[in-house]
Formats: sequence, C-alpha cells, structure tokens
Amino acid sequence: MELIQGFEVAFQFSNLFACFIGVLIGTLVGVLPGIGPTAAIAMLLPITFNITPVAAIVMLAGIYYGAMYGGSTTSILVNIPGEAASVITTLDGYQMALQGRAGPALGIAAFGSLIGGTISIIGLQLIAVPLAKVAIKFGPPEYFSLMCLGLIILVTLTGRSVTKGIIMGLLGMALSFIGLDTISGLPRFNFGIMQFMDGINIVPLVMGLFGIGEVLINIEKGEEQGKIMKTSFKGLLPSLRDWKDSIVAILQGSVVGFFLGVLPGGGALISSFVSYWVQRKISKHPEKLGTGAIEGVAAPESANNSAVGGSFIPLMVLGIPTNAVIAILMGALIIHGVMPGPNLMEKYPDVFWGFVASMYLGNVMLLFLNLPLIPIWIQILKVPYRILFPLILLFTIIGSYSVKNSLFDVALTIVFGVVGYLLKKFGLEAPPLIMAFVLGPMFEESFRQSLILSRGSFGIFVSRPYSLVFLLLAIVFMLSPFIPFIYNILRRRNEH
Amino acid sequence: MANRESVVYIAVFFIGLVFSIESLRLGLGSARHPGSGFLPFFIGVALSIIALYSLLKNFLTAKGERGRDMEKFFGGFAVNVGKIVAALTLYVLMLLWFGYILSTIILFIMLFRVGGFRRWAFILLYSFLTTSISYLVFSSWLKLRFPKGFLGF
Repeated sequence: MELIQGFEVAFQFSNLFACFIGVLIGTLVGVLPGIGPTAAIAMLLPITFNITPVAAIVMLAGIYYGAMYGGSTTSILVNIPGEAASVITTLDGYQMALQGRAGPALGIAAFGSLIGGTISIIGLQLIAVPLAKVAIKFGPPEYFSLMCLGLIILVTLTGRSVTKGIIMGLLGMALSFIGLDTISGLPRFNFGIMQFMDGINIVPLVMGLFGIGEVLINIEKGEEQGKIMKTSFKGLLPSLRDWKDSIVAILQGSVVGFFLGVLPGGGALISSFVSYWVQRKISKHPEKLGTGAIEGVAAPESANNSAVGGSFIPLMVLGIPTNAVIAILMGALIIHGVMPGPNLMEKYPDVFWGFVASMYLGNVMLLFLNLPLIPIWIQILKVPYRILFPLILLFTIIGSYSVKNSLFDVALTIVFGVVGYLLKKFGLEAPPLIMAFVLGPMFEESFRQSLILSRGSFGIFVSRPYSLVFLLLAIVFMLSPFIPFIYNILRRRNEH
Repeated sequence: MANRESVVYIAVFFIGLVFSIESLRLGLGSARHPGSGFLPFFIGVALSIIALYSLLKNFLTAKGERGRDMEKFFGGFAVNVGKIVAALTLYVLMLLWFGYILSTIILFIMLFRVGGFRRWAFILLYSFLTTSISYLVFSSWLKLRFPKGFLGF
C-alpha cells in the first residue's frame, strides 16, 4: 500500500525529472575517471536547496547508483575504472572487449546492474519496516554500541593497514568535536577562530578530500584518457548462452552486494571484490575468470548496484551512514529538515516510499540511458582531463561556498584538498575519517547520555541485550585481522 | 615509505597531544557527569599513543632505507599541483575584491595555462564562456549570492 503511494510521489513530474537528472549525472560521473559520486553529490548539493526534500534525495541517490552503472563502461572499453567499484570489472570486461565482445560485456553489465539494483530495493523495503520497529526501542547505549561496531568494521574492512584506518577514524572524530558541545552548548576546540564556532561543515571536508584532492593527484600523474577500443557496439543484448553463463553470477552478486552494502564500510567497492571472489569459488571453470568470462563482469556489476540499495537501510532505519556517499546524503536530508532514523517512515512517508519507488524507476531509466547512449559516453570520455579539471575545481568551490555563502568554507575546502592529496600520497584512506566525522557527534552524545543514565556505570553497555550483541560483534571484527595468525599457531601446534 | 610516514605520525602525535591538553582545560567531569572534554581527551590520548607506536615501529624497521625514501614521493607533474593550489588560494583572495566573474575568468586562465594550453584565443574564449555559463546557472537560476567586488558583479 505504502509503495503504491510511493509511486504516486515518484511519478510526480518534479520527482521524475529529479530522478532522470540524478541518474544521468550519475552515469556521467561513473563514466568519467577522476571524479567519484561522493564529490559529485557534494558538488550538486546546492542545486537541491531550491527543490523539495523528496526530489533532493531522489536526485542525489540517483547520482550514487547511476555512477555504478556508468563505471562499467570505462572498465570494459578503456581498461580504466570510471568508478572504484568497477575496478574488478576491468579483469574480464576489458578482455572481452579485446576479443571483440564489448557489446555483450556492456549489455550484461547493464542488465546485471538492473537486476542487482531491483533485488536490493526489494530487500530494502522488506527489511526496513521490521527493522525500524526494533530500532525504535534503541536507547543511547544501543546506538553507542552500534556505532562502535560500525566504526570497527569500517576500519578493519577498508584500507591496507588497520593502524592507519584507526588513525584516520580517530582524526575524523577529533575534527567532529570542533564547534559547540551538543550537551553543554559550550564552544570547544575552535582555537580562537570564530568561524569554527559552528563546527566544520561536512561539505568543505568532502569536497576538499575527494574533489580537490583527487584532481591534484590526477594532475601530478599527468595522465590523459586511455585508448578507447575500436570495437563494434552491435549486439549489446547478451545471447541466450551469455545469460545462461551469467545468471548465477548476477543472482549471487545481488545477494552478496546487498548484505555487504548493509554493513558499515562494506559498500559497493568491497561487495564487487567479494562477489568476484565468490564467483571464482562457485564457478565450474574458475580458470576462465580473468580471461574474458562474462560472469566476471556480471557478478561485480550486480553486486556494486545491489550494495547501494543495501547501504540505504542503516541510514533510513537507524540514521547511521555506512559510507562516505551515504554520509553526504544524510547531510542533505538534514539540511532539508528530514532527520533519518526509525521515525522516518512514520514522520516522512512520502520521502521514504517516494525514494524507494524512485529507485525502481531510476534503475529502469538507467538501462535505457546506458545501452543506447554508449557511443555518446565514449565521445565524452575523449574530452581531455586538462579541460575537465578546471570545471571540477570550479564546481567544487561553488559547492562549498553555497552551503553558507562563506569564503572561509572555500578556503577550508582548499586546505582539505591539500590534506586529501597528502593523505593519498602517504597511503592513508579518507573514508574512515569521513565516517567518524559524521558519526562523531552522535557517538559522543550517546556515550555521555548512557553514562548519565547509568549514573557513571559502564555496565550499561553490556547489561542491555542489543548493546551487548553489538559490542560482541565489534570484538569479533576487531580480532578478525589476527584470525590467520591464531590459525597458523594452532596448526603448527597440531603438527608438532 | 617508512621514513616519510614518520612525518605523518609525528603530526598525528601532536594533534592528539593538542586535543588532550585542550580537553583537560575544558574539564573531563566524571563518569557520572562526563564533561565537554571527557571523550575528546581519550580520543586525543589514543591518537598520540597509536602515532607513537607507529613511529617506533617505523624507526625499528626503516634502518637502511634512508635517503632513497623521498626520491619517488612526488610524481612527474608535482610542480603543477603547487601551481593549482596557488591559483585557488589567489582566487579566494580575489573573490572579495574583483567579484565572481572577473576572478573566475582569471582562475580559468591560470588553470588552462597549468593544463598546458598555449593558445591565448582558446584560453580566453573558454574562460569567458565557462564563467558566463556558471554565473547564469548558479547566480541567475539558482539565486546563489556571489561576492560582487568593486565591479558590482
């Protein structure tokens, strides 16, 4: 019933148009290497200030899942992933293109994305309602433990070094403390700078780290676009044999992607790698993967799209973002006066169900946008980076300026841009910093409220069942990097 | 790699230290009534301890690597990175005085030059066009109020 009402909202012209613009920009962002959905969403945030909250979230979410579709095009044709989540697609996609099968590779990537995206939306609407009923019972201790779990998963899953992940997470949290203390209302850590009284806005931070930082890295490399395959794009529709070879990959990719998307730090990137790994394990011919097997394209492309739907569950139901893109979307919802959390469906049913319905429509739009427009995307790919980067920088600056019409925010964006560039150079990952920055205020508030509730007893975190489960899971994830080490010790002991 | 990472860990150590000291000044409160500095203090201490641990680990493992380490840190076009940062900084300073249109045209000229374009006709035309379109979209359509500068636009 609610979904029908959602479709009524989604079919309103303004929302339909916002969805179309979102998926169109998303595809473009996915096609173009050097600009990701995080920076694109942050850049386009000001455009949404003049539209309704539904249209805003529909458009911004469209950019996110649209980028997943577009990312496969460059992976297959140029061997350069337009989007990080399409890195693994290059292995088989580019090989298929070299063998003259770019058409079926692009086709199965688009159909796999559609199926993955649709399965994840069904999962989203099935899980969100019962989960919200449970989440409504959560108090500060449960939220604190859940955020501990989220941050620990993020630190252990992303990046090559757990120590560096922890450092980035702690730095993000430290940055989030700048500004007014949410409980006492007193200013802190502003070090005498008036503009820091309100804290650091997420937009300059993200724009700097992901927008300007990325441009500086690309400029330093001096890379231009790669060579585009001269291949025929006839036969974009996969054959019956192609479907037979890839249907299991699409279904497993969709399921893996969805569940990994729900996990904090999981997201599209990890799900695409895991689904490829799963495909290698379950395939009857694992040796073919990496040599141009169509299932090597189908699995990661379904997974990265499915992960997008999954990643909206913690945001919509718990008010907790699972990755940097979702963190920006959360910021956008808050700017529009919509607070994500267990009460979202009750308070703003039009936003939630309109958004769910729009994702169905957006995924179908993307199929029609992607396949017939591939020649146009390829032409866009030929635009030299030295023409694109000044535009990216301008959009980044305008985006950060527009939030508060503040030149200080623009200066801050440039500073964070240099920081983002240096972080990349030192092999430090920005996503844990962004996540901790977003979760920081909630994390501290729930921690302090819990202690006030329990009159100073830390036992409150283990005496409540949900909180205890979250903390136990957090310990399991924290110890996970040591599992191979412990396993090796036990094996050696058994051998002796 | 290990040596240059030490620079990061030293910086992180001091950031942690500054946060811890400032937290003490704000007041930690008690477990019953945690103060403004309670959690930030522990975050600051954790930052400093992890940075110190990483620094020591690097120091013990990085023997013999010195000298070679900084050589390949910056890529072939690192000078352009400096030029872009300088152009952006100049742009922020110019915006208040020259306003959006003139400052943005100058920014584009600088960025296109960094990008390697040499033909002035192309640079001026593209700079003017992109600035005008962006002004129309953001100022006229989206009603964003840009700094006007002495020219009034």
